[in-house]
Amino acid sequence: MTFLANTPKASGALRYTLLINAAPQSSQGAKTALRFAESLLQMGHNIERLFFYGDGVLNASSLSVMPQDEINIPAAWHALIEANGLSSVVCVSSAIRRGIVDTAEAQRHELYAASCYTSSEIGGLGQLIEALSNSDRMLSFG
Amino acid sequence: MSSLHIIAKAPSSVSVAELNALVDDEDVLIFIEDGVYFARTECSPAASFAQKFRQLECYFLKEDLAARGIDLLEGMQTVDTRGFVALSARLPRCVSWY
Amino acid sequence: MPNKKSISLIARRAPYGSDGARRTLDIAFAAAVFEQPLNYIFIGDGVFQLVAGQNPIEISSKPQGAALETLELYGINEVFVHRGSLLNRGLTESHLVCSANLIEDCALKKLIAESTYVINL
Repeated sequence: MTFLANTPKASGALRYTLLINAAPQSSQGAKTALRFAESLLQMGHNIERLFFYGDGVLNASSLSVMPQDEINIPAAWHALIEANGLSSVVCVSSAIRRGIVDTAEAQRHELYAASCYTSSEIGGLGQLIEALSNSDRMLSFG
Repeated sequence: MSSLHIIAKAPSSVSVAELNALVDDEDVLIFIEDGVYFARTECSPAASFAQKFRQLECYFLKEDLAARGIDLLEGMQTVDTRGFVALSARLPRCVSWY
Repeated sequence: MPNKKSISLIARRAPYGSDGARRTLDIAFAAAVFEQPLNYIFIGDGVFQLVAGQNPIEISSKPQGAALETLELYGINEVFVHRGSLLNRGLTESHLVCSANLIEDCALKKLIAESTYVINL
Protein backbone atom coordinates (compact mmCIF):
# COMPACT_ATOMS: atom_id res chain seq x y z
CA MET A 1 0.00 0.00 0.00
CA THR A 2 1.40 3.37 -0.89
CA PHE A 3 0.51 6.31 1.25
CA LEU A 4 0.70 9.84 -0.09
CA ALA A 5 1.31 12.34 2.65
CA ASN A 6 -0.92 15.43 2.62
CA THR A 7 -3.36 14.08 0.10
CA PRO A 8 -6.87 15.13 1.07
CA LYS A 9 -9.50 12.41 1.01
CA ALA A 10 -12.05 12.52 -1.77
CA SER A 11 -14.56 14.22 0.51
CA GLY A 12 -12.02 16.91 1.43
CA ALA A 13 -12.20 15.92 5.09
CA LEU A 14 -8.79 15.87 6.75
CA ARG A 15 -7.48 14.26 9.93
CA TYR A 16 -5.91 16.69 12.38
CA THR A 17 -3.69 16.26 15.40
CA LEU A 18 -3.80 19.28 17.71
CA LEU A 19 -0.85 19.82 20.05
CA ILE A 20 -1.83 22.07 22.94
CA ASN A 21 1.05 23.54 24.94
CA ALA A 22 -0.60 26.44 26.78
CA ALA A 23 -2.20 26.41 30.20
CA PRO A 24 -5.83 27.56 30.08
CA GLN A 25 -5.24 30.29 32.65
CA SER A 26 -2.07 32.03 31.48
CA SER A 27 -2.21 32.48 27.73
CA GLN A 28 -4.81 32.68 24.99
CA GLY A 29 -3.49 29.63 23.14
CA ALA A 30 -5.77 27.10 24.84
CA LYS A 31 -8.88 29.14 24.03
CA THR A 32 -7.77 29.53 20.42
CA ALA A 33 -7.19 25.77 20.21
CA LEU A 34 -10.64 25.06 21.62
CA ARG A 35 -12.37 27.38 19.13
CA PHE A 36 -10.28 25.90 16.33
CA ALA A 37 -11.23 22.34 17.34
CA GLU A 38 -14.94 23.23 17.46
CA SER A 39 -14.84 24.85 14.01
CA LEU A 40 -12.82 21.95 12.61
CA LEU A 41 -15.50 19.45 13.62
CA GLN A 42 -18.36 21.68 12.46
CA MET A 43 -16.70 21.87 9.06
CA GLY A 44 -16.61 18.09 8.76
CA HIS A 45 -12.92 17.48 9.43
CA ASN A 46 -11.76 14.82 11.90
CA ILE A 47 -9.62 15.08 14.99
CA GLU A 48 -7.22 12.16 15.10
CA ARG A 49 -6.04 13.14 18.56
CA LEU A 50 -5.74 16.03 20.98
CA PHE A 51 -2.35 15.92 22.66
CA PHE A 52 -1.77 18.07 25.73
CA TYR A 53 1.91 18.80 26.44
CA GLY A 54 3.89 20.92 28.90
CA ASP A 55 1.65 23.46 30.65
CA GLY A 56 -1.07 22.36 28.22
CA VAL A 57 -1.80 19.37 30.48
CA LEU A 58 -3.59 21.77 32.85
CA ASN A 59 -6.42 21.80 30.27
CA ALA A 60 -7.32 18.33 31.53
CA SER A 61 -7.68 19.38 35.17
CA SER A 62 -11.03 18.40 36.61
CA LEU A 63 -10.25 20.44 39.72
CA SER A 64 -10.24 23.93 38.13
CA VAL A 65 -12.89 26.28 39.50
CA MET A 66 -13.72 29.42 37.53
CA PRO A 67 -15.71 32.52 38.49
CA GLN A 68 -19.31 32.47 37.16
CA ASP A 69 -18.58 34.99 34.41
CA GLU A 70 -15.54 33.19 32.99
CA ILE A 71 -15.41 30.15 30.74
CA ASN A 72 -14.07 26.97 32.32
CA ILE A 73 -11.73 25.81 29.57
CA PRO A 74 -10.99 22.35 31.01
CA ALA A 75 -14.73 21.70 31.36
CA ALA A 76 -15.28 22.88 27.78
CA TRP A 77 -12.57 20.50 26.49
CA HIS A 78 -14.12 17.68 28.48
CA ALA A 79 -17.55 18.36 26.96
CA LEU A 80 -16.13 18.56 23.43
CA ILE A 81 -14.17 15.32 23.85
CA GLU A 82 -17.18 13.46 25.30
CA ALA A 83 -19.69 14.78 22.76
CA ASN A 84 -17.52 13.82 19.79
CA GLY A 85 -15.82 10.71 21.15
CA LEU A 86 -12.39 12.25 20.57
CA SER A 87 -9.06 10.69 21.46
CA SER A 88 -7.39 12.97 24.01
CA VAL A 89 -3.99 12.23 25.50
CA VAL A 90 -2.20 14.07 28.28
CA CYS A 91 1.58 13.67 28.29
CA VAL A 92 2.48 11.71 31.41
CA SER A 93 5.83 13.32 32.11
CA SER A 94 4.35 16.83 31.84
CA ALA A 95 1.24 15.81 33.78
CA ILE A 96 2.65 14.19 36.89
CA ARG A 97 5.04 17.14 37.34
CA ARG A 98 2.03 19.46 37.38
CA GLY A 99 -0.28 17.41 39.56
CA ILE A 100 -2.45 16.09 36.74
CA VAL A 101 -3.02 12.41 37.60
CA ASP A 102 -5.69 9.83 36.91
CA THR A 103 -6.76 7.24 39.47
CA ALA A 104 -3.98 4.83 38.48
CA GLU A 105 -1.24 7.47 38.72
CA ALA A 106 -2.68 8.76 42.00
CA GLN A 107 -2.45 5.25 43.46
CA ARG A 108 1.02 4.63 42.06
CA HIS A 109 2.39 7.84 43.58
CA GLU A 110 0.27 7.58 46.74
CA LEU A 111 -1.59 10.83 46.10
CA TYR A 112 -4.94 11.53 47.74
CA ALA A 113 -6.92 12.50 44.64
CA ALA A 114 -7.13 12.12 40.89
CA SER A 115 -7.25 15.42 39.00
CA CYS A 116 -7.47 14.42 35.32
CA TYR A 117 -10.81 14.39 33.52
CA THR A 118 -11.67 10.79 32.64
CA SER A 119 -12.25 11.89 29.03
CA SER A 120 -8.48 12.25 28.64
CA GLU A 121 -6.01 9.44 28.88
CA ILE A 122 -2.58 9.82 30.47
CA GLY A 123 -0.03 8.58 27.97
CA GLY A 124 3.36 9.06 26.38
CA LEU A 125 4.86 11.04 23.54
CA GLY A 126 4.73 7.88 21.44
CA GLN A 127 1.00 8.56 21.17
CA LEU A 128 1.75 11.96 19.65
CA ILE A 129 4.09 10.37 17.11
CA GLU A 130 1.51 7.64 16.39
CA ALA A 131 -1.23 10.24 15.87
CA LEU A 132 1.00 12.17 13.48
CA SER A 133 1.56 9.09 11.39
CA ASN A 134 -2.23 8.80 10.97
CA SER A 135 -2.94 12.49 10.36
CA ASP A 136 -2.96 14.90 7.44
CA ARG A 137 -2.31 18.05 9.50
CA MET A 138 -0.82 19.03 12.84
CA LEU A 139 -1.38 22.38 14.50
CA SER A 140 0.41 23.50 17.61
CA PHE A 141 -1.04 26.06 20.04
CA GLY A 142 0.91 27.86 22.74
CA MET B 1 5.03 23.27 -1.19
CA SER B 2 4.13 26.33 0.79
CA SER B 3 3.34 26.48 4.51
CA LEU B 4 0.82 28.34 6.65
CA HIS B 5 2.65 30.32 9.35
CA ILE B 6 0.49 31.03 12.39
CA ILE B 7 1.89 34.04 14.23
CA ALA B 8 0.43 34.41 17.70
CA LYS B 9 2.83 36.84 19.37
CA ALA B 10 3.15 40.62 19.18
CA PRO B 11 5.90 42.02 16.94
CA SER B 12 8.01 42.87 20.00
CA SER B 13 7.95 39.20 21.10
CA VAL B 14 8.74 37.54 17.78
CA SER B 15 12.18 37.19 16.25
CA VAL B 16 12.07 38.82 12.85
CA ALA B 17 15.41 37.15 12.01
CA GLU B 18 13.81 33.73 12.58
CA LEU B 19 10.73 34.63 10.55
CA ASN B 20 12.93 35.85 7.70
CA ALA B 21 14.90 32.60 7.83
CA LEU B 22 11.84 30.36 7.72
CA VAL B 23 9.07 32.19 5.85
CA ASP B 24 9.29 31.56 2.13
CA ASP B 25 7.97 33.79 -0.64
CA GLU B 26 5.19 31.34 -1.48
CA ASP B 27 4.04 30.92 2.13
CA VAL B 28 0.80 32.18 3.65
CA LEU B 29 0.60 33.99 7.00
CA ILE B 30 -2.17 34.25 9.53
CA PHE B 31 -1.88 36.61 12.49
CA ILE B 32 -3.82 35.52 15.56
CA GLU B 33 -3.97 36.46 19.26
CA ASP B 34 -1.34 39.17 19.97
CA GLY B 35 -0.01 38.57 16.46
CA VAL B 36 -2.75 40.87 15.15
CA TYR B 37 -0.66 43.78 16.45
CA PHE B 38 1.44 43.18 13.34
CA ALA B 39 -1.20 45.40 11.74
CA ARG B 40 0.44 48.27 13.62
CA THR B 41 4.13 47.92 12.86
CA GLU B 42 4.68 50.94 10.59
CA CYS B 43 6.92 52.69 13.11
CA SER B 44 8.50 49.68 14.82
CA PRO B 45 11.61 47.56 14.31
CA ALA B 46 9.34 44.90 12.82
CA ALA B 47 8.49 47.28 9.97
CA SER B 48 10.87 45.55 7.57
CA PHE B 49 9.18 42.21 8.14
CA ALA B 50 5.78 43.89 7.91
CA GLN B 51 6.80 45.27 4.51
CA LYS B 52 7.80 41.79 3.44
CA PHE B 53 4.62 40.08 4.60
CA ARG B 54 2.47 42.60 2.72
CA GLN B 55 3.91 41.02 -0.42
CA LEU B 56 2.68 37.60 0.76
CA GLU B 57 -0.83 36.26 1.11
CA CYS B 58 -1.70 37.17 4.68
CA TYR B 59 -4.72 37.28 6.97
CA PHE B 60 -5.67 38.60 10.39
CA LEU B 61 -8.02 36.66 12.65
CA LYS B 62 -11.23 38.69 12.92
CA GLU B 63 -12.13 37.70 16.50
CA ASP B 64 -8.69 38.72 17.81
CA LEU B 65 -8.72 42.05 15.96
CA ALA B 66 -12.17 42.88 17.33
CA ALA B 67 -11.15 41.90 20.87
CA ARG B 68 -8.21 44.30 20.75
CA GLY B 69 -9.90 47.20 18.95
CA ILE B 70 -7.37 47.07 16.12
CA ASP B 71 -8.40 48.38 12.71
CA LEU B 72 -6.74 47.15 9.58
CA LEU B 73 -5.05 49.36 7.03
CA GLU B 74 -6.32 49.24 3.49
CA GLY B 75 -5.61 46.03 1.63
CA MET B 76 -5.29 43.83 4.72
CA GLN B 77 -7.58 40.79 4.81
CA THR B 78 -9.40 39.10 7.67
CA VAL B 79 -10.71 35.59 8.27
CA ASP B 80 -12.77 34.14 11.11
CA THR B 81 -11.91 30.87 12.85
CA ARG B 82 -13.64 28.86 10.11
CA GLY B 83 -11.51 30.68 7.57
CA PHE B 84 -8.46 29.81 9.69
CA VAL B 85 -9.48 26.14 9.53
CA ALA B 86 -9.95 26.42 5.76
CA LEU B 87 -6.45 27.89 5.36
CA SER B 88 -4.93 25.08 7.44
CA ALA B 89 -6.66 22.56 5.19
CA ARG B 90 -5.59 24.31 2.00
CA LEU B 91 -1.88 24.53 2.85
CA PRO B 92 0.02 21.25 3.29
CA ARG B 93 1.57 22.14 6.67
CA CYS B 94 1.35 24.67 9.48
CA VAL B 95 4.16 26.35 11.41
CA SER B 96 3.16 27.97 14.71
CA TRP B 97 4.96 30.92 16.26
CA TYR B 98 4.18 31.64 19.89
CA MET C 1 3.64 1.86 10.57
CA PRO C 2 3.69 1.69 6.77
CA ASN C 3 3.81 5.41 6.15
CA LYS C 4 6.81 7.49 7.07
CA LYS C 5 6.00 11.12 7.50
CA SER C 6 8.80 13.52 8.27
CA ILE C 7 8.92 15.90 11.21
CA SER C 8 11.01 19.05 11.41
CA LEU C 9 11.61 20.11 14.99
CA ILE C 10 12.54 23.76 15.38
CA ALA C 11 14.55 24.43 18.54
CA ARG C 12 14.53 28.20 18.94
CA ARG C 13 14.51 28.62 22.71
CA ALA C 14 17.53 28.94 24.95
CA PRO C 15 17.84 26.16 27.55
CA TYR C 16 16.95 26.46 31.28
CA GLY C 17 14.90 29.71 31.19
CA SER C 18 11.86 27.74 30.04
CA ASP C 19 11.05 24.11 29.29
CA GLY C 20 10.68 24.49 25.52
CA ALA C 21 14.18 23.21 24.76
CA ARG C 22 13.71 20.11 26.89
CA ARG C 23 10.23 19.35 25.55
CA THR C 24 11.49 19.63 21.97
CA LEU C 25 14.27 17.16 22.80
CA ASP C 26 11.76 14.72 24.31
CA ILE C 27 9.76 14.78 21.08
CA ALA C 28 12.99 14.07 19.16
CA PHE C 29 13.69 11.01 21.31
CA ALA C 30 10.11 9.75 20.90
CA ALA C 31 10.27 10.21 17.12
CA ALA C 32 13.60 8.33 17.06
CA VAL C 33 12.12 5.39 18.99
CA PHE C 34 9.36 5.15 16.38
CA GLU C 35 11.92 5.57 13.59
CA GLN C 36 10.09 8.61 12.31
CA PRO C 37 12.20 10.67 9.87
CA LEU C 38 13.31 13.78 11.73
CA ASN C 39 15.13 17.05 11.12
CA TYR C 40 16.34 18.78 14.27
CA ILE C 41 16.89 22.45 13.49
CA PHE C 42 18.58 24.88 15.88
CA ILE C 43 17.88 28.54 15.20
CA GLY C 44 17.84 31.84 17.09
CA ASP C 45 18.48 31.45 20.82
CA GLY C 46 18.06 27.71 20.28
CA VAL C 47 21.73 27.55 19.23
CA PHE C 48 22.66 28.25 22.89
CA GLN C 49 21.44 24.71 23.67
CA LEU C 50 24.47 23.38 21.81
CA VAL C 51 27.13 25.47 23.56
CA ALA C 52 29.81 23.32 25.22
CA GLY C 53 30.60 23.64 28.92
CA GLN C 54 27.07 23.90 30.36
CA ASN C 55 26.95 23.14 34.07
CA PRO C 56 23.42 23.71 35.40
CA ILE C 57 23.76 21.67 38.60
CA GLU C 58 23.56 24.77 40.82
CA ILE C 59 20.29 25.78 39.18
CA SER C 60 18.82 22.29 39.66
CA SER C 61 18.52 21.53 35.96
CA LYS C 62 19.71 18.74 33.71
CA PRO C 63 22.40 19.72 31.20
CA GLN C 64 20.84 20.22 27.77
CA GLY C 65 24.16 20.18 25.92
CA ALA C 66 25.08 16.77 27.32
CA ALA C 67 21.69 15.38 26.28
CA LEU C 68 22.12 16.75 22.76
CA GLU C 69 25.52 15.05 22.53
CA THR C 70 23.66 11.72 22.63
CA LEU C 71 21.46 12.43 19.58
CA GLU C 72 23.67 10.32 17.33
CA LEU C 73 23.28 7.31 19.65
CA TYR C 74 19.53 7.57 19.09
CA GLY C 75 20.04 7.60 15.35
CA ILE C 76 19.20 11.29 15.09
CA ASN C 77 21.67 12.42 12.45
CA GLU C 78 19.79 15.17 10.64
CA VAL C 79 20.88 17.97 12.96
CA PHE C 80 21.06 21.46 11.47
CA VAL C 81 22.30 24.73 12.93
CA HIS C 82 21.29 28.03 11.36
CA ARG C 83 24.54 29.75 10.43
CA GLY C 84 23.22 33.30 10.78
CA SER C 85 22.00 32.63 14.33
CA LEU C 86 25.49 31.42 15.35
CA LEU C 87 27.17 34.43 13.74
CA ASN C 88 24.77 36.90 15.41
CA ARG C 89 25.67 35.44 18.79
CA GLY C 90 29.42 35.48 18.34
CA LEU C 91 29.57 31.68 18.16
CA THR C 92 31.37 29.33 15.81
CA GLU C 93 31.21 25.57 15.28
CA SER C 94 34.10 25.15 17.71
CA HIS C 95 31.82 26.28 20.59
CA LEU C 96 29.35 23.44 20.01
CA VAL C 97 29.00 20.09 21.79
CA CYS C 98 28.51 18.10 18.60
CA SER C 99 29.06 18.33 14.90
CA ALA C 100 26.13 19.78 13.03
CA ASN C 101 25.36 20.83 9.52
CA LEU C 102 25.50 24.61 9.28
CA ILE C 103 22.58 25.73 7.18
CA GLU C 104 21.63 28.94 5.35
CA ASP C 105 18.14 30.49 5.08
CA CYS C 106 17.60 29.07 1.63
CA ALA C 107 18.34 25.43 2.54
CA LEU C 108 16.29 25.84 5.72
CA LYS C 109 13.23 26.92 3.76
CA LYS C 110 13.69 23.89 1.53
CA LEU C 111 13.84 21.53 4.56
CA ILE C 112 10.58 23.00 5.89
CA ALA C 113 8.90 22.74 2.50
CA GLU C 114 9.79 19.04 2.34
CA SER C 115 8.52 18.19 5.85
CA THR C 116 5.12 16.71 6.59
CA TYR C 117 4.99 18.41 10.00
CA VAL C 118 6.82 21.28 11.64
CA ILE C 119 6.89 21.44 15.43
CA ASN C 120 7.96 24.84 16.72
CA LEU C 121 7.38 24.83 20.49
